[in-house]
Amino acid sequence: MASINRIAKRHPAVLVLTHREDDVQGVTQLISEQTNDFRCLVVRKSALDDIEQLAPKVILFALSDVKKSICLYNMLIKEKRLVKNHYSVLLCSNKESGLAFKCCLKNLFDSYFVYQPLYEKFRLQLIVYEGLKQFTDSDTYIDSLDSIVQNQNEELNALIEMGLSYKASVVEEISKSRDEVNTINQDILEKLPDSMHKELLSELNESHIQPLLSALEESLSSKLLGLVDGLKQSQDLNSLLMKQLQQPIKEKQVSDLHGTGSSDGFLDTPTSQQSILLVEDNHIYREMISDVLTNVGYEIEQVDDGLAAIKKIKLTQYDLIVMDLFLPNLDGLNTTKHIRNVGKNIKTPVVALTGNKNKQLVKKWAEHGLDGYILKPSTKQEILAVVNKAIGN
Amino acid sequence: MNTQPDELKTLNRETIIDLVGDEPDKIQKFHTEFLAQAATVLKTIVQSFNINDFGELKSQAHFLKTSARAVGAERSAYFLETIERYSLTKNKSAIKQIIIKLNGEFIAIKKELTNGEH
Repeated sequence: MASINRIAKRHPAVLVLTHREDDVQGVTQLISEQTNDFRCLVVRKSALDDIEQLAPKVILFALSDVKKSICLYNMLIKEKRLVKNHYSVLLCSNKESGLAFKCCLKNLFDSYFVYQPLYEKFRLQLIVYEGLKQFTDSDTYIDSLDSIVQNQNEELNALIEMGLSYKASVVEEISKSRDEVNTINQDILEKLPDSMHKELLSELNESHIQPLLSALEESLSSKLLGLVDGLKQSQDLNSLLMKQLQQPIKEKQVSDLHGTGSSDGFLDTPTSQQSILLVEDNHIYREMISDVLTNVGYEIEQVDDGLAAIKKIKLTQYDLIVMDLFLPNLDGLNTTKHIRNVGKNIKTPVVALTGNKNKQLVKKWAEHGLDGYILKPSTKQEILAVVNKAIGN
Repeated sequence: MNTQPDELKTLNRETIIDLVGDEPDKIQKFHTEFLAQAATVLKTIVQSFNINDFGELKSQAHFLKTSARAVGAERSAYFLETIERYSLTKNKSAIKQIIIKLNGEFIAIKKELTNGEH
C-alpha cells in the first residue's frame, strides 16, 4: 500500500476514498495495475480540502458503508469541491449492492462496484476505464481490457480468414478450369476440317459453356461473399455485445435492443423448447445443473451474477429462472426484486439454489416471489422434480 | 452440516453420481476442475487471512463450499463451512488450523483421484 501511494501524483486522475487503507487494498492493487495516476486517501476531518486540492477526475467512494459515502459525496457537491465533469463510483459490500444500484439508477453516482467480496476484478478496471476515457485518450488504459475483447474475437477472425481463403481458392480453380476449357475448345476447333463445325462449336461455347461457367463463378462467389459477410456481421454483433456488456445498464440501450426484435439474429429466437436462465457464480456447479437440465431437453442460458441476470431478463423472456442466493454484484434476493418489477419476466417462476443454513433468507426471499428451492448439492431427481414443478411440466 | 469430520468422506463418489449420472468421463472432468478451482481459491483464502479480510475469507469459503459439496468432497465442505463460521467471529488462530486441514484434504483428494478408479 505504501508503495502505491509513493508513486501517486499531486493531482491524480483516480482517487479512492476510504476510512481504512486495509479495506481497499485489493481495489488499489487492481487500479495500480491499470494506471499509476491514482491515489488512495484516508478520509479524515480535512477530507473536503484534501479532495478539492487533489482535483480527481474519477472518484471511488469506499467508505465503511454506503450511507457515509453518500453523505461525503453530497457534501463535496454542495460545497463545489469537485471538478465539474468528474466520474463518481460507489464501492460497496455485497449486502449493500441493492442500495448502491438504486443510487446509480437515480443518477447520483455514475457507477457502482461490489468490492467486498472482490470477485469481478476486470469489471472494476472497466469502470475505472469508463471514467478515465471521458477525460483522456483511452489508449493509455485500454491494454488489459482490449486483450479480453481480442480473445473473444479470435475465433471469428479465424473463421473469416478461412472463408476468404476458400473464396480465393475456388475463384482460382474456376479461372483455371475456364482456361482449360478454352484451350480444349481451341484444339478441337483447330482439328476440325469443316468450318461449319467450327462455327457451331464456337457458338456453343459462347452461348452455353461460357455463360454457364460465369453463372457458376458468380453463384459460388456470391455464396462465399455471403458467408464472409455473415461472419463479419457476427463479428460486429460480437463486438456490439462486448460493448453492451462493458457498459453499465442504461434504460435507453435496453429499449433500443427491444426495438430490434429477434428477427435480426441478435436476440434468441423463440422456440418450442422451454428456456431456463441459470444464475450461479460457481462455474462447476453451474455446469452440473446445466448438464442435468439440458439432458432432459431444457434450453439453458447461464450467467454468474445478479447484474448479468438483470441484463438478460430485460431482453429475453424465460420459462424459469434458477438462481443462487449469494451472488457477486447483486444477490439472489435483490435480483428477484428487480425481476418482479421490470422487464419481461415479472411473472416468470424463480427457483432458489441454496444451502440448508439459509432457511431464514429463503423465507425472506419467498416473500418476493419464489416458486421453489433446490438445496445444494441435491440429486438429479430432486433438481428435476423442483424445476418441472415450477415450470408446470 | 452437523456431522463430525470423522464421519465424512474425503471424496464421496455417490454424491456426484447422483447429481450428474454415472458417467466416468464427465465425473473426471468435474473432479479435475474442482481441484484447479480449489487451488486458486485456497490461495485467495490465504491472502485474505494474511490481511485480516474476514469478509472476503467467508465469501471465498462459501464459494468453494458449493462445488466441494457437489463433487462429494465432504470433509473439504465441512472445513470450508467451519472457516465461514470462524470468519464471523474473526477467530484467526482457529481459521489458521482449518486452512492447514483444508490444504491436507485437497492433497488427499488429489491422491485419491490419482490412485482411484473412475
